[in-house]
Amino acid sequence: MRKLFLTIGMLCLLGCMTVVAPVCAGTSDLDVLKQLSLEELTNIEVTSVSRNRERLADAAAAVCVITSEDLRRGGFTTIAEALRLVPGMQVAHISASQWAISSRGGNAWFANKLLVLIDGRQVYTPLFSGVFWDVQDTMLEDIDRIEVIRGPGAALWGSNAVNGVINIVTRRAEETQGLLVSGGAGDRERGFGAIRFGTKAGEQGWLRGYLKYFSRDHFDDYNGLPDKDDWRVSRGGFRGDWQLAGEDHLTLQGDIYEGDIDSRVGYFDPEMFRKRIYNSDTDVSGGNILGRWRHEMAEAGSLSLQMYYDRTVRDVPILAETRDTWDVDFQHSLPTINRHQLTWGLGFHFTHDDTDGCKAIYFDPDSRGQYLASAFVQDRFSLIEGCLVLTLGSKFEYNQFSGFEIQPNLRLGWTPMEGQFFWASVSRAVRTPSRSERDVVAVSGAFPTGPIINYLAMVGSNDLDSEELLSYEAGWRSRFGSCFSLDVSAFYNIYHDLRGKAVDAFMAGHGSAIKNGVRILPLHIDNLYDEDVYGFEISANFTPVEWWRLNCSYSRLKIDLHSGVRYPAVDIAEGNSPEHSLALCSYLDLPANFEFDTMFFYVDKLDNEYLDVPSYSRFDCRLGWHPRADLELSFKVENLFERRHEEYDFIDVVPTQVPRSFFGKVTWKF
Amino acid sequence: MEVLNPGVAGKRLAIVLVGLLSVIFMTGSGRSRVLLADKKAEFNVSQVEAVFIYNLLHFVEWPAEKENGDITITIFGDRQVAENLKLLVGDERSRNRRVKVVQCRRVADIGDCHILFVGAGKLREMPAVRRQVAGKPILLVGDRDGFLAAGGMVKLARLGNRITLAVNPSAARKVGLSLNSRLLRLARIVSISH
Repeated sequence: MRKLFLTIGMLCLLGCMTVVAPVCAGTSDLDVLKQLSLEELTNIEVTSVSRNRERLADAAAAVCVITSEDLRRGGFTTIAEALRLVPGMQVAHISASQWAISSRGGNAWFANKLLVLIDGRQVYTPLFSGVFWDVQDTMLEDIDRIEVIRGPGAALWGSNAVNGVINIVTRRAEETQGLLVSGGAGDRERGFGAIRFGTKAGEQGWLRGYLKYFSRDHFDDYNGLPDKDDWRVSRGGFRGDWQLAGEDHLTLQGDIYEGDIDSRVGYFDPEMFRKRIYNSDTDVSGGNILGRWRHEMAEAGSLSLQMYYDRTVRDVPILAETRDTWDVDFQHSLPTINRHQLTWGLGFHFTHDDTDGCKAIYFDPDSRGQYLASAFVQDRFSLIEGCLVLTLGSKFEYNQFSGFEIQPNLRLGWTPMEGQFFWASVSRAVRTPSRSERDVVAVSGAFPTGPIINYLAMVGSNDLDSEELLSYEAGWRSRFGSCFSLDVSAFYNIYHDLRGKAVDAFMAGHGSAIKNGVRILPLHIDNLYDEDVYGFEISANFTPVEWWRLNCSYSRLKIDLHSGVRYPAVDIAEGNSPEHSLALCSYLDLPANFEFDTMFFYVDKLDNEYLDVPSYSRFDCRLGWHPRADLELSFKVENLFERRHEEYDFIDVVPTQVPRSFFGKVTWKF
Repeated sequence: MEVLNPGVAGKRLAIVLVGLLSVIFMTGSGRSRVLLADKKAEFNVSQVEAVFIYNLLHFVEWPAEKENGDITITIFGDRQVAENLKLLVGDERSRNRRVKVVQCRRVADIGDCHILFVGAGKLREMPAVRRQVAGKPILLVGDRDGFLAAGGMVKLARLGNRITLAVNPSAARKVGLSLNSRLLRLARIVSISH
């Protein structure tokens, strides 16, 4: 029956596509604008959706921009869920508050090859080189765009930008003036609300502040029984932008948050000699402050200097972590000289953590400071002006764990004619060892021999090398008229020295010295695996009429692990990411100021030694209404045709099923 | 626990939605653009910028040698602005003179003109652009932060959801252009000497 409805829905959508003649959007607005005086023009409200989308149009990389309009029309309540719109990204909702998110394979709860930045601040944690998605949030209405680069961005962004870079950019304070109040509730969204106020601060300065809160209900497990994975977070922040003398620009911004995130986590309890599942009621809190100064020069280009401090506290019952990070970043973009566009920069990053573990998992030492010094240089050289551009760049880094790293990158972009763009690139990127891989002791088994208790434990290693990627990519972006555009990219990624647990050392019987009656039999983490990952992504945008936009994307992914070992870690095991995924989105403007938006996702099965998740289809839809220009009412149903489905499996965190859910929302702008 | 069987609820919802879709396409396909406009009068940046550029013709005085013949507006590196400007200008005449819109992608192709608009992606080409137009009475217009610092004369600056004007009159004066006082009153004056 479910299939029948799904079929009807899809047929309906397809029917609509053929019914509407592809008459492209006109520009009757121009006639209106033409009548206006210069004064009146300065009071016109503009939208720059298309500009944002075109901003990266000549980047020789697989880029995708999620605009503020996409976020609003998709009815997203989290940044993590919005990433489903990006072709080539894997987004799996593990439990109500936890996600596994990766780009081009390697998906796991602790996926570790993605660099995520919010307004230039790195938000992945050096603890495991991954991202705690449950605390990455801001006022969604203030997000200008989310730029996603699939494939390595290491030449510019440095280590850990291996499989992709996600850049979340919020609007300048002057673009978010006035009061905005939004709120809503539903069955899983118990309640959410946000308030933002923007005001002038001085002659050439603007300031905004926001507060937001949400409380989300638990999901159900596969038996339909309620789990304990409800969560709530409150958050506040500000951003100020000042136009200084000349065209210099100063930004000062910060956020604080506090929340309580519940989930159930499995771990081996060495005192009870068995695996236990416990309620991981985690308290999270944190804050950050960032300043950025941009100086524009006449003949010498522009300079930017950015500094931030970030503190995160994650109080997981079995392993608490407090982390302080300081970062300073300098960048100089030179003007074009003899067809060369040079950009260079320097950075210094220091992070210090304090952990508090238990017998089952702890860090040795329990506190550590890590620093990273980096420099990069990039030259964009026009081989044939306006037609063929070669970009050559590299990042040079020094870190305590793996020493000196060079991550070069060569890109070629070709514009044979207006609207057609071909690109190819080859790059090297590394993922430096994380704090966990260096210092963790995680017990996975125990047995007594006489008075001594033996712990089998995964133990970090001092001589671990970086994981390395050599990536070949190519792509084609094209625009046919003003109503159709196509973006195709293909990649072949060769990974070396992926880390895994070295069973051999353990088999040979090397144990640690006996301490307090405990002997640790270590499974050292080592660089063990090589892997090839390849695939392609196709994305098409179609605007048959001014009031209807369609987006369709398909991604294909294949992982080949070169190893006979049976149990590689889940983030490198074959089958951790769907081989096929499809997304179909439709955004429709209706009469009487209604909007009707539908999103369909198909995600292929996950299948390996750890994961057994069947393929799933998901259909979301949203109805929006603007009774007045400043008021928006919307209603969204997620997972319309299914009671619930599973998206990921039990790896440390107990998975729950994504249910059918709905919520209503009101947004009022003054 | 559940009062309503979710399966049934889902089916009902599906029927309602499918129905809704059909209704929309029977009644709504011919809907007009006007409805969108009263939802929120928002315009595309490129369109507004094109109109601004066109209007600037009335607020600038060129030296005598440029007061005859066609008026040329060159757009360097912003396809959308160029297309909108072409649509806008059409066959119109300004002060009884024909207006030509030229789009170019390379600095070397920039010829003599009245207004040169430098697109956002071409800001870093400014030193070369200035060499190319060296000393000629051409109004340099741009829309990116740093444009005036780099030698531009009029910046279509984003201020919130609006586009405002920032001008550097001394840069214009240097090449013999005079900016109308109404323009100067309306714009933010940025004084950068080069």
